[in-house]
Amino acid sequence: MVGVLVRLRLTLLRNQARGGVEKVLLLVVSVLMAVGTGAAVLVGLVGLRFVGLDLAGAAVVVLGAVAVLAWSLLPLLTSSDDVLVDPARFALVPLPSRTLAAGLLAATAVTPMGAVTVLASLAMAVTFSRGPAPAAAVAVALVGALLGSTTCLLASRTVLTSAAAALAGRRGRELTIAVGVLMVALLGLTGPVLAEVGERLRTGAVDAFVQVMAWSPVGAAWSAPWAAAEGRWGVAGARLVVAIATLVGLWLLYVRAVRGRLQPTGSTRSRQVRGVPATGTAPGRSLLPDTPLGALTGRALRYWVRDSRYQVSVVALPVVVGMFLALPGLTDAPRGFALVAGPLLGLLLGITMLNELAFDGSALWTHLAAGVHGRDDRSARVLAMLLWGAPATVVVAVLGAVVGDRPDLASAAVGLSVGALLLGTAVAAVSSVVLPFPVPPAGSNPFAGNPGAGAAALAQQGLSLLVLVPLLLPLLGLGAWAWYTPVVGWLLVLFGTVYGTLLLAVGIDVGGRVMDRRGPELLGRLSR
Amino acid sequence: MTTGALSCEGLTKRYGTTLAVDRLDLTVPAGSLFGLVGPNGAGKTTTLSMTTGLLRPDAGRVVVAGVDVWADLQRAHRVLGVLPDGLAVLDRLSGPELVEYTGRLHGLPRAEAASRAAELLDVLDLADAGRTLVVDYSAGMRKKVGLACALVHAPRVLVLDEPFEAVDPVSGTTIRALLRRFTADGGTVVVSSHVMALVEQLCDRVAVIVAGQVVATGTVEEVRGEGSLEERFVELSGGSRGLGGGLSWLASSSG
Repeated sequence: MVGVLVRLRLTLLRNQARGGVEKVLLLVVSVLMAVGTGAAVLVGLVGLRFVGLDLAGAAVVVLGAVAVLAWSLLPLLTSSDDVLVDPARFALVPLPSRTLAAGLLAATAVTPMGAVTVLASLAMAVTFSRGPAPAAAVAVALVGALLGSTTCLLASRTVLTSAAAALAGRRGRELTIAVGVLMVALLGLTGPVLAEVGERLRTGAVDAFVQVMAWSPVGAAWSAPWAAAEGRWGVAGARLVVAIATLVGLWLLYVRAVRGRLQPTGSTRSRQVRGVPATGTAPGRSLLPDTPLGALTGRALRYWVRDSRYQVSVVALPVVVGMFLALPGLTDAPRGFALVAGPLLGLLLGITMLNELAFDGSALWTHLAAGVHGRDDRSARVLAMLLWGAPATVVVAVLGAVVGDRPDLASAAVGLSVGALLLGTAVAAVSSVVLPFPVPPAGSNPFAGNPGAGAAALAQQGLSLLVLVPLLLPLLGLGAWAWYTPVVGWLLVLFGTVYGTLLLAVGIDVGGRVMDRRGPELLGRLSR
Repeated sequence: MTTGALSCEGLTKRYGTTLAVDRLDLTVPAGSLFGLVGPNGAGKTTTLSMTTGLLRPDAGRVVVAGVDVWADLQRAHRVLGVLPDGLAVLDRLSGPELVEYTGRLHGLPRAEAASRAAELLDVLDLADAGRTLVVDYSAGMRKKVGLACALVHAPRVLVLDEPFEAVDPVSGTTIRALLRRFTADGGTVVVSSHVMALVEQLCDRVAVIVAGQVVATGTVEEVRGEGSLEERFVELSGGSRGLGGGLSWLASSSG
């Protein structure tokens, strides 16, 4: 059975290599990433042979622990489409869960990243080929590498399988998406953090931390050869025991998780809408006019709160903006950096709207069949964003000027930000009906993308920016003037608002006409 | 040609090289409960999409309640109530929210839309679902909430694509009663379905579509002739292919 699953993995890889351009590209990218990572680890481990044993040992422990953690957490975000992950797919095949677990684990080792992890870690033998008995240290290193890399693979399967039940539900998937976006947004911080850790490693300030890691389940396998190279055989043996115990524990957990997935699941929990009375007459909503436009706007507002694809923006934008606001305080970036936050938020909010119509997918028929006017549809979607987006942009622009130590530029920042927001929205009001491209439905992995939509997405975003950038030039010109003559900022507020509103009105009108004329064709495009 | 509540003339739709609907003519008399049947891929959904203004035909004309659909989409949408098959719904709304929303898009005042939504969902036994989002509904519940959306603006012609799919027998009975009531009050209903027994029992008139054309139409009695509607349908669709001499090994499992 293990052989069958490994062969299935190889068949899948071969089919991917024979698939369309995008599949092949994906495979090439994943192989390149794996080989690149492997090469870097290999060079690093060989290079560490020529530095002091204490530094080399500590570095290997930290690297190994990071590998185990990365293997445990990253697949939660990426491998949702891998058929060789979820044991539930094999529920109809009469197999003991232990056999299935072993097969799925072996199939993981035959992925590009899995194979590279196992092979590259063996280079640890080079790092520790020293000390009183080099040959014995090499042997310990080889055993440690196999234990450590197997821990990586097994940990990733155990976490994924245990999470599978939760991930299968809509809420779970949406939660992962939000966490994933947050993690991606925070990736920018990993560089400085790693540098800091390296610095501390060199100065020996994290000695205690490394000592704890060395005995912990995530580090024991990687620290055993270090002790062996020092000639501390007892310690090396004890660490190997910890590593083996970790593997056994993980294995038991994994088999249990597999067994759990093979059993039929109970009823799926459904979600109640929080805070919305069943009648749908929340106090704030009655402020919207009692017209189709009011209904459309209310619906669009609800979607900003309830649809994971909108939530992605709602979660990611504050992180990005916050980084710009906080950067001058945290690093030695120029303080003026914070001034960018407002205009950036305005621009990004506009860009979020570029393909907003496509989020409805084929559900757009509801609007067509109700004879909604294109202009109402366009206006409502814009309104629902501007109602909170415009105040937020103004606040961030002012904050940026204050944090950036140029309060005199607050008016200019507000003018530029509001202008950028309105212009981006104006372009989006047209682009989302003229060049929409289908997007993955809500609740699916937003990183997965939609095969075939790549070129369309590129065309839409590229063309939209091509239109948007020249439109922004007058604002940027005034902005540059205001930099030297801050009082011009007030002119920028006036101009940005009027110019932006005018173009937004044009955008809504044009977009609305297109929608009225080509509604069925739009529906056809989005139903694919 | 007599003009009914809904009539198609020379309706044609081509996808690439496939002719999905081929110069189709169809007349649905006012006040009838009309069944549209046909094998998989016969062009039922394509036809219904074109009659409801959701798919532009390559050629032909559709008139609903006196309105030329493709000449005046706005007015057509006012007289039509639609339940499409295979299209998404705005499923991040709860049932009451979705029905009320649909009603308000049709121009109903908020209070009127809300009370109609509550009444419809109560009749369709969805009142208990309350604040559950439609995305968490079962397939049958989705059909029912879709039906409520199609009815909320009191259309004159209802076009329902596979309204009974995944609907349990109890709800099915309710829906049938609802549709009979709708036609008794002067409305017209067009339903497509695979289930012949259901069409035979529910509808007063049927049309059989095969390969994008109407091959038989009339009252249920006229179309079915001597045998059952199912037998007639299989015959019109080109007959059962039978099993031939194959699959004999299936028998071994019982021995």
